[in-house]
Amino acid sequence: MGGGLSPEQRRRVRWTTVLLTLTAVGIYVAFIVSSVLKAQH
Amino acid sequence: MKMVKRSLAAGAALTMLASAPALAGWSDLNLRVGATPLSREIYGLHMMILWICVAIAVAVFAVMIYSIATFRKSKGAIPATFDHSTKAEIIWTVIPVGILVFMAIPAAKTLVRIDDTRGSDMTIKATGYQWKWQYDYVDQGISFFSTLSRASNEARQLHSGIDPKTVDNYLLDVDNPLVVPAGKKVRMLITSADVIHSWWLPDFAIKKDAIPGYINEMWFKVDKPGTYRGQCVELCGRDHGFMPIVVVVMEQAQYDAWVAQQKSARQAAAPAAERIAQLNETTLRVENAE
Amino acid sequence: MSSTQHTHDHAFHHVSAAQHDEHGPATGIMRWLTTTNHKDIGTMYLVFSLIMFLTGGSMALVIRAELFQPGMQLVDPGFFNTMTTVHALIMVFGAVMPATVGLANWMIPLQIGAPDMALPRMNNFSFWLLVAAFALLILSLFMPGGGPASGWTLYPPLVLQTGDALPLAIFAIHLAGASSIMGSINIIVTIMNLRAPGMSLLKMPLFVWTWLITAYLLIAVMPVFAGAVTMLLTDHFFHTTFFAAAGGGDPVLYQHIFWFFGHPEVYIMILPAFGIISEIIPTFARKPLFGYDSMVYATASIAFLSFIVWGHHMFTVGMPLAGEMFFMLSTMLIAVPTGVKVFNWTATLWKGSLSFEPPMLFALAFLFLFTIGGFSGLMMAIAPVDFQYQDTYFIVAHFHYVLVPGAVFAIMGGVYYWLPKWTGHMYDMKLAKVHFWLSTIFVNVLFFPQHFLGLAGMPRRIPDYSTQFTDWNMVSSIGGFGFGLSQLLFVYVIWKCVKGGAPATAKVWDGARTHGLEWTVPSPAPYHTFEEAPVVE
Repeated sequence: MGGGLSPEQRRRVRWTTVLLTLTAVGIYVAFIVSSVLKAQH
Repeated sequence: MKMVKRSLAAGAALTMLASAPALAGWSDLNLRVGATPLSREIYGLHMMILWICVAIAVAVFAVMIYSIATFRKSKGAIPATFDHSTKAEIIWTVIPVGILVFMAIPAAKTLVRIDDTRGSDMTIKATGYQWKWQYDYVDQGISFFSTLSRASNEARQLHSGIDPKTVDNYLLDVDNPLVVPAGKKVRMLITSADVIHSWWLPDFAIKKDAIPGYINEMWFKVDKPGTYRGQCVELCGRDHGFMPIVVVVMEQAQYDAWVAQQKSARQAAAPAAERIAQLNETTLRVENAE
Repeated sequence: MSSTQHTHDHAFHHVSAAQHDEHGPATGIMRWLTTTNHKDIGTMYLVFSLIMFLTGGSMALVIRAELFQPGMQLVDPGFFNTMTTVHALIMVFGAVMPATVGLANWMIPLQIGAPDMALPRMNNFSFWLLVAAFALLILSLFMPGGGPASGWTLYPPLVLQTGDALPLAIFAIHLAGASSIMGSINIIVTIMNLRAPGMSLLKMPLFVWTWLITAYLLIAVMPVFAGAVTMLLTDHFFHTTFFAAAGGGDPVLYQHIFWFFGHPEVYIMILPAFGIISEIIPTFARKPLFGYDSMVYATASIAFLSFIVWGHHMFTVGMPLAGEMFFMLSTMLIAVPTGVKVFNWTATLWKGSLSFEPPMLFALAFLFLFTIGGFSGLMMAIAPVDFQYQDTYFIVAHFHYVLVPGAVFAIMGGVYYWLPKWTGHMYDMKLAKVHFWLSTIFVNVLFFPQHFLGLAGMPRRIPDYSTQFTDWNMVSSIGGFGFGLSQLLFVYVIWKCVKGGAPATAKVWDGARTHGLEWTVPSPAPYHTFEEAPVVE
């Protein structure tokens, strides 16, 4: 595989991947941070 | 609501059918009506929802079965080509919403009623432990543990050789049951000393989790004296299945006598307890002197 | 394994001359360790999930064996709890989810006309991470203190009483979660970017749609579960008190976080199953799926609603009245889009021309039995009555109906549907039908009586019960063993098919839509397909 993706497609694949990864990590961090804040008061 | 009244009547009729011979096992198909007005109301709600679900299921399954039986390639059926119908979609979206609204009204009413602990006559605190319950009669200064009965406990051991069927109320019997007076609104405070447990009396249709750091509240009012049995219903470790709940509902006079007896038993035990404490202190001093 | 390899190699040799592949699949174990081919990875996920299904199933048989009679005959109560816990963790994260991911891997590129997944190396990594995860989980069973025994929901404080198995189990969950998240990213990126020209979103097969939506759900909630178990870990090892009342923390907070993940999780398990049913029924009814657009919107509605109902798992926790009311009403609402789907499938059957090959048999059984599970779910949504059902066998009956004759039957139907495409062979239809009938009969013998047990008052997660529950437990256990043994037939049918069978055509099924792209490639599908994008009208 690999032979068949245009540069434009590759660019969009990379962009979507980064966005979704950051979203997943962000959600993980957000829930832990909010629990820490809840524990603090 | 009229439907609730009608279903309560249906529920009462079904109750008479269901409670005729107290057959164990095969006849245990349905929720029990229970011993309180609230449990009866909940049973009625359960039956109403159940009948509605059965009715819808019968209708939908009928269409499915008819299709499977009639529109067969082996019978030479030629397939139609339609693949949408906005009218049908609207109908089978709106009608279910209507049915849900119809269900939600009595459900909401009952939910509000369960939540209302005002006007209680007495308060009892139940604390879950691994693996037993502790009951504190907050107003009377009575406190005791309630543990699985010895007979059940022996029979339930692995390879005990004892047939559970020979044990009365197997796994539903305790050494010290909770005792309450009939006809009084009892407020239960539920908490835990270790992990999460849950206090459930099916006959009263009340269940609340026992959570460390929380005090949960619920109430019941039983008019008929009797013995009612329940179990812990939140996984709490190895012996989660072995910490039952037994509530004995007594007539007021009998209950008062029981309270008096509990209090005097504690007073009789008190001087003995004090002497033991003194002895321990003496022992410690002697040991430390050596 | 080698027979599958044979098949693929055979297909590869067929095609290599025409396709000038400089690099074909490696041979032997290296092929499977390093493959970036979506078909190979799909196969690995499916084989893994089948092994896990049988493993989790054996644990269920330990449970049903102990529950066959009142009294304790076989196991220590602590070990019984471990079996309950690990049975569920394996079935949810090791059997159902990997199976749907395996089907996604195999079918999504084929159905959208893409040469492979968008991120093939991450695809490989996602699979092997899962193997590592379950190696850890199984290993945790042998640690001092025994395996995790707190239920798959891992509620604190109880879960913090787990012995040395705790970090292993939590790490296993982290790895499985990472695997799922990476797989979902792959699926979304693939679907959004690699569809053949002409395939707009609203022309995609329903299976692709349901996986697109499922993948978004996974990315949204898997990290939440990871956060929850991370906090369990720090509470246990690093003196945090997120969930410890003594330290000012809140055990119920864990439940909120867990079920915020947990409820969408169950839709993550069922939505791809819905997609499979939407593929199978039109083919064997020889009629287009009724209401394609509403099916998409209904799936999206279910996914959206799944975020605002989590409290219905916590009705007995002591929530304020407003909370209980909200969660009751929002949960009841889910019946609407779910009903729409059931009605649409039924309307697809109506005035069709039905035939009853194994995939269709499983799809029809799904239609009846999942609906029963749906109804018990509606009953449970009614909060005041749920106080009687919660933590009893009524709940156990509900979720097993939607998961076993629900999700698992859909997966089996999907396997029977696409197996000829993967292997190039038709399988033994007669045996497959025997597998179907045995499974359907026994699954009902196993789980229907559990409704009665729950209503009669039997709590869940107990190794022993009072004697009035004897009869239905006995029936259920017989059903359990019958169902379990019947699955050996499934394994045999698949194995026999991989080894050989009547050659399958490209179309395979008489009623398969000619404009379903997977039916336009040969059977078995060549190792590389759609290297040039097909044209979609």
